[in-house]
Amino acid sequence: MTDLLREARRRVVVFDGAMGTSIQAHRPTEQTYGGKLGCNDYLNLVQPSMIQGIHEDFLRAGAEVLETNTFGGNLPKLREYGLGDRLEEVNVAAVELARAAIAAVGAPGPHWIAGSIGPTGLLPSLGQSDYATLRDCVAAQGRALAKGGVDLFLVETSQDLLEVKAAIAGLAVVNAQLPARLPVMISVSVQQGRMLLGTEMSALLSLIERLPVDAVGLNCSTGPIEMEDALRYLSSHTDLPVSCIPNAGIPENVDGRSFYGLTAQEMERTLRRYVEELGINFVGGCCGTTPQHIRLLRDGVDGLQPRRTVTRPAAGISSPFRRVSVRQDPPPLLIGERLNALGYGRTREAFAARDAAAIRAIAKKQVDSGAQLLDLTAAHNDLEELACVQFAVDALWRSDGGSVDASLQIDSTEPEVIAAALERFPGRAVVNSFNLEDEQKGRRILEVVRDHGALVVGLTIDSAGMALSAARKCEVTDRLVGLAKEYGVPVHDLIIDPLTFPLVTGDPAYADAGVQTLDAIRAIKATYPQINISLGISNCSFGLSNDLDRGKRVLNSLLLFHAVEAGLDAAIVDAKHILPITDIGREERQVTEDLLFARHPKALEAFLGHFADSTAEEGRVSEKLAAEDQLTATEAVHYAIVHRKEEVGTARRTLIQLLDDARQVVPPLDLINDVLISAMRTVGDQFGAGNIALPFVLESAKLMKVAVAHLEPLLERNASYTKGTVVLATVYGDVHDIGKNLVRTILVNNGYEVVDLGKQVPATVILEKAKELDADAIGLSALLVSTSQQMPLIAKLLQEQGLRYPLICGGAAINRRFVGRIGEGYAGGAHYAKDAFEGLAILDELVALSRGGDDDDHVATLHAEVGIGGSHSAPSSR
Amino acid sequence: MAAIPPLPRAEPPFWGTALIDPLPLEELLDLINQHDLLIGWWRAKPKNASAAEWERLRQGIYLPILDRLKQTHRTSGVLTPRGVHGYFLCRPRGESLEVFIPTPQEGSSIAPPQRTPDAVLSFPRGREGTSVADYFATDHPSGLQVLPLQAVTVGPGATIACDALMAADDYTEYLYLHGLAVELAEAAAEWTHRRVRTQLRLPTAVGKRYSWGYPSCPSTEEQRIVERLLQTSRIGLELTAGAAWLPEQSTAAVVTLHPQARYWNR
Repeated sequence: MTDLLREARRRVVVFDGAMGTSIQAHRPTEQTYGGKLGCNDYLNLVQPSMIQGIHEDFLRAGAEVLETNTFGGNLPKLREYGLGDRLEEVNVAAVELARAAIAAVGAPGPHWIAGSIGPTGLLPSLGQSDYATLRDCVAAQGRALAKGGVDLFLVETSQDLLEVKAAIAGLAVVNAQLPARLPVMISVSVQQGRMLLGTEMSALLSLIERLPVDAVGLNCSTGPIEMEDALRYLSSHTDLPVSCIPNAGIPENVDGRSFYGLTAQEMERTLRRYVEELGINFVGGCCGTTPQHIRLLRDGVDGLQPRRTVTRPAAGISSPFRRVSVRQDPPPLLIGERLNALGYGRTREAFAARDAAAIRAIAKKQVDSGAQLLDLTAAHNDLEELACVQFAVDALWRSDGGSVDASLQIDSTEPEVIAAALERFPGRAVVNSFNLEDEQKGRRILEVVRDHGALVVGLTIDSAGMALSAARKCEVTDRLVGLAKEYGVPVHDLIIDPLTFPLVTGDPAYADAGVQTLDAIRAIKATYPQINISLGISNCSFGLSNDLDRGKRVLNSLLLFHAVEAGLDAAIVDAKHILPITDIGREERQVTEDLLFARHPKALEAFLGHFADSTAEEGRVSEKLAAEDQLTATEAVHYAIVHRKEEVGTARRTLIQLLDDARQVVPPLDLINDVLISAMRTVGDQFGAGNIALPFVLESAKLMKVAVAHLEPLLERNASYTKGTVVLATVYGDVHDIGKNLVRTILVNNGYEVVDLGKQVPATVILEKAKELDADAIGLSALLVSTSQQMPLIAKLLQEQGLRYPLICGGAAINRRFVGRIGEGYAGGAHYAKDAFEGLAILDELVALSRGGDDDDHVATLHAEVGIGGSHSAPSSR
Repeated sequence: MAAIPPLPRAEPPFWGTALIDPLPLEELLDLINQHDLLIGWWRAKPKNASAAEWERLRQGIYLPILDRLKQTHRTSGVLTPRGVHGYFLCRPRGESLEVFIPTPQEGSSIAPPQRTPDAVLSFPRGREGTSVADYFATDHPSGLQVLPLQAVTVGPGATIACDALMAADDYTEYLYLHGLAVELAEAAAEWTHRRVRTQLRLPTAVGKRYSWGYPSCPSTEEQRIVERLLQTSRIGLELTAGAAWLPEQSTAAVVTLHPQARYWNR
């Protein structure tokens, strides 16, 4: 028998078409099914000639691989029909029928028989079943198919990564008992490029990277066109042969039956393109495909050679959704350390109380601050480790709880605990860790790592203890690499932790521990460029008292910085406690690096002295703050608004505190009018002069809003700081409201009462509101040429009703001329504002004029201004 | 007006429409036009800033903000870009394109003289006398050229999140997110356009993408035809009474295949 996998790399190989659809074409009745209506697999026993005939039709059409009629031949499905005890019989018969068909047709070969293994319908990631049960189900079916004599196993239509993982494990069990291993092909079903629970193809490839899988691909769910993105990813990221076995289009429900509309020609054209462009190795048909589809397909692709360029990424882990590279750019990969029952009391409590929500909250917080891998350990005397880990993994990664988008680093010394965690995690995880202190235990851990295709951390520890010198660390690493290799774990799946020791305890044995660790990183990387290196960073500052928090952070940050320079790939660290290197002062960096690099015997003393007396350090920063201290409270309020400061001066007085001080001297109303609004005017002037840009203005406006909100309740009754009332709207038909929103922000924070009617506002609504409030002006905004036509309409309506509210118009598609024309036909006047500040200026003038009782002249005054340009542009390509 | 030479007929991988749902957010974030975002939408550059001063602001303040936003919205669920594109048949008639919807059975062997067009798109001539319709001239005996259309949206989440920021008086964050969403829609259009180029085997810079509301196709009302042909409601995209796309950060375009295609201002 020609080797199928070798053949598929040489030329494209064609699978058969739909079994289910072909059976339905016979219009089977309950009688056809031998009383087991709907159990297609039972037909192998009760209608053998029908099934053999379907195989023969596909063979004559040119199919080279026949899928056995065993899609539902698993225990849970057969049990539904009371056929649980006939599993082996059903599966063996199916293989024999395929073989008989090949003999009967006698077409030139080679031909292969793929043992079809469909899903049980129970999703382990939703807790409907579990890994062990599914693994055993697949093993039972696989054993029967192998007994029948299949040439490969085809796990198809999988939707859940954990289900895929269990199936691979089940078939590994079967293969281990066969004289020659049979190939395993995994075919998943995607919609919109993802598996049912949101899994991307990158996660699938990552999962199977180190598992015994021989081909991968897609089937069912959609037609070929919808598969393109997922297929493109697969074909460009794996060396394995790739299959594409689509439905004849997306099924449509016609008269209660599934109808597949894609013609054989269209299917052939798309699949041929995938072979030519993406280098697909296997093609075939799933639901709705007939011998006609397969005939055209075979004719179309016969002899084509699948060629493709694969970029295989470096070692990767995965969350249930996506792959994450261990090699981050920039490094390192951040490993969250807080799901640790030993180090964190709150975590221990959450584990003890089995509080899923609390566990998820701890995880999510770490993910939010950048962790992509979560170290999890429940090894604590007060806890039952196995049960806690099982609970925590379910809480974090079972989809019915709201899966966390990070991968798992299971931190335990117990192989059983590690295995239990990996069996529940639908992704590719890291095992933390093995070492050579007790080689037998190390071997047991590596067995688990191998079976689950995980990555593993190796600690540089052996029977002589923890390796302290760089030379020892390197020597132990060599042995770790050798042992891992025995279990098929290649160096790029190994993560070496060369150990960090506390640098601040004064223990002379550890004085140069930092140097040794950094040297070891460089040396290990030089020997094994593909190996990954990880460190538990905060160990270096272990023992430092909490009032030296700054020293702790600086030391951790500098060790991380230098370790990354040396080649570190991953770090167990609390990301919150790491400072950007630019935030570390020159002097503090000097004393810390002296300690880290053991540059002189008094380095620790100098380090502790510096951080104990770090007021000097803060002094430099405080020069500016001291200047701020010279300001009076009202000046400081003005200063805070103009300079966008939430805190002012050495005492870090908040805006609210400053306001409370200032109102001892100035009444709240005057504070708003004379200090706050004047500050905003300064901001507006700076903007107008071109010294600052929009984001700074909005920052000031935000503080202004906070300040006014604080003062408003303190105003005397009837006291009002409102300069006037404006009705604002984005016109009917238009949904682009950023211009209007910015205008509102500026007007509100400059003392106007703004009634914002929102977007798509009909003209009549605007008119009614203006009348109701007797507005000082109406502001209109529109982005498009088409919707800008609402503006003259509104003016016309106002004119007809004898109303005289001034209009202020803005928007990308209009200009001064356009608004000028509107004004010609409207007695209330229409003004163009190129931006929010021009709108404010117009409004100020309008209000001043109307308060002066000089209503009739303002139009002329305002029309004197000149200017050009719209203020925003359309969100679109040209 | 320079004559636009006819082209051979392009061959699309399929006829009719295909959803790209979701569009790959990660790739779109990488495609975002940083300059248009910072200068055009955030309006972050002070008018008087020197080149050096702007560089300091750009690198010190705004690029880190952009990185933060991208990081947050990779997983926030606020941005859910979706797209649809399709290949139709068209025949230029003066300033118009007669559009035919190819049925799967007919495929490219459609015989238009017996059929009335399913739609007509109009493209007024610019000052130099060119119409977008001219770019679809073909020497194929049927006179029919492939007409690629596309529509993309970043989904309704951006508007909801923007409204929430505005309601919380978080004005700057509002400005930032709004701009990001608009430029993401642009990136989505560019991504989809690249997909069309790949599928039609066109070189990178050949052909242009024309959206409605600009001088070459000024009438946004024409988008009602696109809405119908691409059945944009499948990606949650529809036109308002004023012919604006809803959700706000969305854009549609006609893609030309012609190497001479260019933009003009009036």
